[in-house]
Amino acid sequence: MSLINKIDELLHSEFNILSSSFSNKEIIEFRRNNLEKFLKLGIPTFKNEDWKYTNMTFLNDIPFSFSFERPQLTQIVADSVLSFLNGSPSTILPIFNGKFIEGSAVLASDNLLVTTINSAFENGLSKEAIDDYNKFYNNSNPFIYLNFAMFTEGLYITVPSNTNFVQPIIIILGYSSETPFISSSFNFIKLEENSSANITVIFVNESNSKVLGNETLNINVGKNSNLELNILQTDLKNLITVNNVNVQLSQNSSFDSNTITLHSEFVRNNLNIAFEGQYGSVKLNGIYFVDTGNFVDNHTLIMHDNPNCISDENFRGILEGRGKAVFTGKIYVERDAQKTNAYQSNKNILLSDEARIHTRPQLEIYADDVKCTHGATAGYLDQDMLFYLKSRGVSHIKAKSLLLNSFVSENIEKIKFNELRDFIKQKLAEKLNLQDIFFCDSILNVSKDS
Amino acid sequence: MNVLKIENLKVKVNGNLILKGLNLSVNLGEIHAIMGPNGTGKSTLANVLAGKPGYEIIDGSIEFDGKNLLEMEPEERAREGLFMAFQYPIEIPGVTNANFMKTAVNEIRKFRGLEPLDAYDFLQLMREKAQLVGLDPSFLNRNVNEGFSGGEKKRNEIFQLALLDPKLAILDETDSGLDIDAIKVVANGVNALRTENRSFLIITHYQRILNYIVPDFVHIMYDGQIVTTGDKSLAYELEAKGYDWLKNGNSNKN
Repeated sequence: MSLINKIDELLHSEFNILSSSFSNKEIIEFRRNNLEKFLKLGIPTFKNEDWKYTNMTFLNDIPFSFSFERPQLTQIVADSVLSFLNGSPSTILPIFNGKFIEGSAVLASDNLLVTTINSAFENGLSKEAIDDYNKFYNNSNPFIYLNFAMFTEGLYITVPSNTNFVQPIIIILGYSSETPFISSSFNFIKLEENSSANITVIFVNESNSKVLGNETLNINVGKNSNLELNILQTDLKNLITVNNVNVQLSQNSSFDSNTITLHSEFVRNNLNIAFEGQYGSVKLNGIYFVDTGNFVDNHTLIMHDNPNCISDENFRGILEGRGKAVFTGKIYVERDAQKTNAYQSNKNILLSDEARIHTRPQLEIYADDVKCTHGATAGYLDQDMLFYLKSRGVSHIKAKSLLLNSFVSENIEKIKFNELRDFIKQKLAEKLNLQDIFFCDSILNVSKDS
Repeated sequence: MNVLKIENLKVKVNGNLILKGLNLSVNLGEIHAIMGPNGTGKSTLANVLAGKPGYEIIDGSIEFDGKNLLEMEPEERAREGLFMAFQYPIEIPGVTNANFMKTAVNEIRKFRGLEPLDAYDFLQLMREKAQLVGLDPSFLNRNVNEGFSGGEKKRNEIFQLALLDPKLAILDETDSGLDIDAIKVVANGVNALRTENRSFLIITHYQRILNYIVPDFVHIMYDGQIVTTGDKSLAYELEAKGYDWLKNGNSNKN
C-alpha cells in the first residue's frame, strides 16, 4: 500500500481523533479541504519541477504512523540543545512530536503572548488568516497541505505592537520515537506594528527510527517591524525534515533569516516570502555542509508584489564525500513592483568528485525598472590560497579547514544573536577541526582590553 | 656550512624549459642577491624552492640544510626553516592574520618539538614583530592581506618572516611596486632579522633595495642560469650598464 493510501486510510479513520481537540467547525473543514488537496497531489516525484532533484517517493516504503500522545521532553535533550545560551535569559518553547510541552517552556517576559494554535483557533483566529499562506504553493508543495490537514498542535506567538523584544525566543522542534511516524506542528507568529523579535528554531531528533518532521512556520511581520529568524539543523539522523516557512511582510518591515544545516540526513527547507507592502527588506542567508549520507535542499521563493522592496539571498555550501545539495532561488517581480532590488548568490565548494550540487536561480521579472542579479558557483578550493597557507608551515588539512571556515564566515557573521553565532562558529570549528583557532579570537580580544 | 645547495637545476613550466642548469650555494648567515631581467626565471626559482605546484623538475638537485628539498611538501619546507616572501601576497578573506600566524607558528613549533605558545605569549610575540615592520597591532584582527595596500602586504610578509624564524628567507621581488619609504621599512626589517643563523636570498630586478640591505654576494641571472657572481659592487655595475650589457654577452661567464 502506498503512503498516500495509508495516509488516506489513517486520516479518515483517525480524523475524528485529530479533530476532537477542535470544536471549531471551520477548522475541521479547513483540515478536510487540505487533506483532499494533499490526496490529489500525492507525494512529489521528480516530475514535479519544484522537487526535480529531491525525490520523496522513498516515503512510500516507510511504515509511518501518526503519534497523538504527548511525549515528554527529556531534560538531557533540552539541556544539550540549550547549553550554548550559557544561562542568558531567553524564552524557550519546546514542541515535541508535534505537541507543545508547556511544562518545559520558559517565558522570559510577559510581553510575549504565547498560546497553542488550537486555543487560538478556538478563540477566534480565522482560518482565512491561515488559508492565505496557501498562495505560496500553487499546488507544488503537497507537504503544506499534509501539514494543514494533520497538524497535532503548534504555537501561536504574538509580539505586541511597539515592543522591541530583545531576548531571544527559541523554539525547539524535537522528535522522539521508536517507530516510524509523521509529526506535524502548525505554528503562527505575528509581529504587530513597530515591533521586533529574534526567533531561533532548533531541530533535534532522538528517534531510533525514521521520522518525517513536516512543520510549518507561518509568519506575519507587521508594519515597521523587524524579525530575525534562525534555523538550526545540525547532525540530524533518522529525521526527514520538511521545514516550511511562510512569511508575509507588511510595509516598511524586514525579515532576516539564517538557515544553518550541518551534516544532516535529509532536509528540505521551503522559505517563502511575500512583500505585502512597499519598502520591505528581506535577507535570506544560509550555510550548509554535507557529507556522504547527507542531503539538503534549500528552496526559496520571494514574491515581489509591491514596489521599492529589497531582497538579498546568500547561500553557501560545502560538499564533501558523496554529499548532495540543492538550491533553488525563485524570484517573481510583478509588473507593479518597480524599483525592486533583488540579489541572489549561491556559492559552493566541492571537496570531492562524487559530491553533487544542483543550483537553480529562477527569476521571473515583469517590471521594467528593477535591479536583479544572481550568481551561482560551484568550484574547488583556491589553489593559490592553499599554497600560501601551506608555505607558512600550515598542514594541508588545516589550510583546507581555514579556507572553508573563511568561505562561510561571512554568512555566520550576519547572525545577530550573539550566543548563537558563537555556538555556530564553535560547531563549525569542531567540524573543521579548528577548535584551537576559534578560541584564539576571543582570547585575543580579552588580552587587548587588559 | 651550506644551507642551500642547488646543482644543475632544470625546470619546465607549461612545457617550456625555464631554468636551464642553475647552480647556487648559500652558506648560513649569508645574504645573496639574485638580479636579472624580466622573464629570466628568477620567480620560477623562488617558487620551485617554496614548492609551488605546476613546476616540472627535469634535472638537478636541491639540498636544504642537508636534506632533499624536492621531496618535501611546501609545509614541510616551511617547518624545516624555509620561508618565501611572495611577490604577490595572496588575500584570504575570512582568515585573520592572528589565526593564520597562530596556526603556522604552532605547527612549526610542534615540528621542532616545542610546546605550543599560549594565547598571551603569542600575542606578545606578534605585537613585538608587528612593531619591527611598523604595522599597527590592529592589523592582526584584519583578514590576511585583504584590502591591504601594496606596502602593507609586503610588510606583512616580513612580519611573517620575523614570526616564523626561518633558516633561509627568500624575498621574491619584495621591493617591486614599493616607494622608497616602504623599501626602507622592509629593508630595516630584514636588517634587524639578519643573524649568523639565518640566510637571505633576495631576488630583485632593481639595485635600489641593495642600497639598504648589503649583500655578501650578487648573482646575475640570465636565460635560466646564473651567469655572473660578484660582491655588492656588481649590482652597481649592472645598474650603471643596464641589462643590455648581459644580452650583448659581455659578462664573465662563471
